[in-house]
Amino acid sequence: MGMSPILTQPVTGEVGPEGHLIRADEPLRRLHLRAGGIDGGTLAIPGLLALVRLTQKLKMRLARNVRVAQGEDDFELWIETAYYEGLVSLSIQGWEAFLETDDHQDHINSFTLAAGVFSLQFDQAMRLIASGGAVPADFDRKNFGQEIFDILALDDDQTAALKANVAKHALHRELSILLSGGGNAYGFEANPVFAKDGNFTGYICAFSPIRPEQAAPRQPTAPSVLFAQQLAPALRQPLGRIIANAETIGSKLQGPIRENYAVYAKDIADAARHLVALVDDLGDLEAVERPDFSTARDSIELGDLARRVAGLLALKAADHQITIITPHMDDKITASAEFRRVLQILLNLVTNAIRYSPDGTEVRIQIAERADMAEISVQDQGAGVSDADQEKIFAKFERLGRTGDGGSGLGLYISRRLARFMGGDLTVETLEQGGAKFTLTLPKE
Amino acid sequence: LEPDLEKPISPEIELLATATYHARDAQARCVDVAAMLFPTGHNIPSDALIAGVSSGLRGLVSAIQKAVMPSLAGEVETVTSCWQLLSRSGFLREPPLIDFMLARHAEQHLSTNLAKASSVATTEQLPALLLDNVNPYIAEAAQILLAAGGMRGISEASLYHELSPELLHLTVWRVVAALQILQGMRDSDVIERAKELLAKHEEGQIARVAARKLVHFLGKNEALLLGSPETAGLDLYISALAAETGIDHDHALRLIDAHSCAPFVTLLKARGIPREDAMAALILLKGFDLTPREISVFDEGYNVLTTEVARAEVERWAIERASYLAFSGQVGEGA
Repeated sequence: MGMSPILTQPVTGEVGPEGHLIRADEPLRRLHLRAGGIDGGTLAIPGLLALVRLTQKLKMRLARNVRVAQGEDDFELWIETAYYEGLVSLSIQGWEAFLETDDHQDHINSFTLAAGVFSLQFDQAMRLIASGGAVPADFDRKNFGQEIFDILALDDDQTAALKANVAKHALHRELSILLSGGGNAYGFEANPVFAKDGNFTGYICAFSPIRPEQAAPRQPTAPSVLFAQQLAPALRQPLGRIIANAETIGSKLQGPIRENYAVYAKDIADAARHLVALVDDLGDLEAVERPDFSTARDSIELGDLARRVAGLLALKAADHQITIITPHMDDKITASAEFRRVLQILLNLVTNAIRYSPDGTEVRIQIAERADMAEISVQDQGAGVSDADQEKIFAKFERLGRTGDGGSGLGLYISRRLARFMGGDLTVETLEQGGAKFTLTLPKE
Repeated sequence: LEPDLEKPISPEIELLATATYHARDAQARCVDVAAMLFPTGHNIPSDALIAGVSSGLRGLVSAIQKAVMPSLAGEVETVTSCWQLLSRSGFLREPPLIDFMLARHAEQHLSTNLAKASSVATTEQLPALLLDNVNPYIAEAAQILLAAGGMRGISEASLYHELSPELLHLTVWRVVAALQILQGMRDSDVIERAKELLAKHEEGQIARVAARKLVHFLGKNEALLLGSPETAGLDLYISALAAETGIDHDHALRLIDAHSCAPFVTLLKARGIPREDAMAALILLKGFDLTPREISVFDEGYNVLTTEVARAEVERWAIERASYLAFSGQVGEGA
């Protein structure tokens, strides 16, 4: 049997509670440094760090293969971890490939020298894994392991283009965009990287400084941009903790408490969930109100979409004994719009229908076509919407006097804006037999 | 829970409590009957499948209960109440747990098929041949694979040894929570035993993980032996197939055990298996379930379908599954 060279001793290391690599055998240390890490700093190899974090969370012994990018190539390591009083020990087996490839940094260096002042390398999941050249002093090392979308100031088109590449795995494309930060502006060119077997392994981005007048007239740091990029992530984490802790208290996991305290804990969790939904809605609001907002064109089979939504919300509906009725499997109408956005609108409409309908009723999703437009409607058996409120309901922050039901008053406003951006509309009517019917129209394919 | 008729309560309260309990059940019955009459999947689950998953789940919960609270062994009432509490909490309905149980069911089914159709004894399959391999990692993983495979189905506890760390962690703490609720007090012994159980669990000792480790170390060197379920054995064969097509082990099991042989055929094509070898694998694992219609579809389609198209399709399945398992949990929690 032909085998790789055998290493009987694993490469080991130890990671502290904060994710710092506090001890490492030389090959692991070298890999960490090449990925942009520093001695004693946070482990800079994203796949490995994720496994360490999971070990810390579960406090269990894990054994997994982890893919690590190095230069142009991807390597698979077999790693076993163990947890002991906050520390995670790493035992890396199957290390052969790394020992043989000590000069992979050459690729990124030569690329940097040829194309710009410094370069950043991202893996298939678009997480930052390495840097080369004269990286600006104010570049935050915490960016390692973060997604490209969180690091660079990309607009929607650029984000969509990069995401499309990730999904398709192999699309040669160059992008010129701007990175603004630390007082300097950079143009960059993103080039896809492929392994020897042809698989897409990520991007190398070369940055070069540009003069201020070359910089695109990007919106100044408007409060809304600040919200989506900085404030929203900062809010989600503590809110998540509040929800988790309140639920723990409410479920009496730590021992019995007075029943009214358990109810208060549930109220706290519900209020925090409401805030998380509001944070999400405000992020969307910021996006749809930007003058350069645009949507993609996907081919969407509306019947299939309806069934997906029904499946996703089945448990929520079952909690209220509500039945979601979807179009017949043979009914097929294809619309041309952005799949993600249409899914978002439909989830919003069906969630509302469940929220505002009496228990034990039906929510019906139907599809139809009129001339060159496709329609998908959500019909409930609730109180309906009065004629006077049928326009008001789509206004920003409009709650029609409702409170305490988990809504933010933004969902329908955002949904209608999205529908109109995609060349369609969102309307509501009250049915003769009672209940409201929201209809989303979209261009037919 | 149903009112306890043994306890002395005033008769009218007792009557009302019982009436309310059953009256509320009327709505739930609508949902249950509708789900049975109009299931959302294309293939209706068989009674055997439902019974297998149900008894597996009960066995899993019971084994964890006994591990964290040995004194429960004879307490049928508490064991039953704990099961009911967990059932009503919705946790036992969560897709990752049901998916795990369905994968075990598929594993059992395919294993039986292979044993019936194969002429190669377990002792002649690849894991046994690797026991004295010069690479200690390979020899150790082969030993673990054989031992874990042999333990499968012997006891209730063997099931929780096969859970992924993430799922075991979740399940153990849910069971502990249910026990504490039933006891009405915090029991530090139970918590300590739960921590011990988790700390002792080694992912590396799970059969499918040991198989994956072997595939990692063997790589393309043993492609020929890994390419046949007969020579590789089920665990190793599935692991190699999953690794090469970029899906996870349990996903591969469930795709192969699907009602139709078409998903398995697509996986084989994605792996680039020649037609004759693909047919052999099909007969070994699905031979007893194949219909003439399926064989003709395979016969006409296999050589026309390209590996690239098959790979792209399998990649899509993997993405859909990952989204479903992750997203359905979030929505189910009412986020």
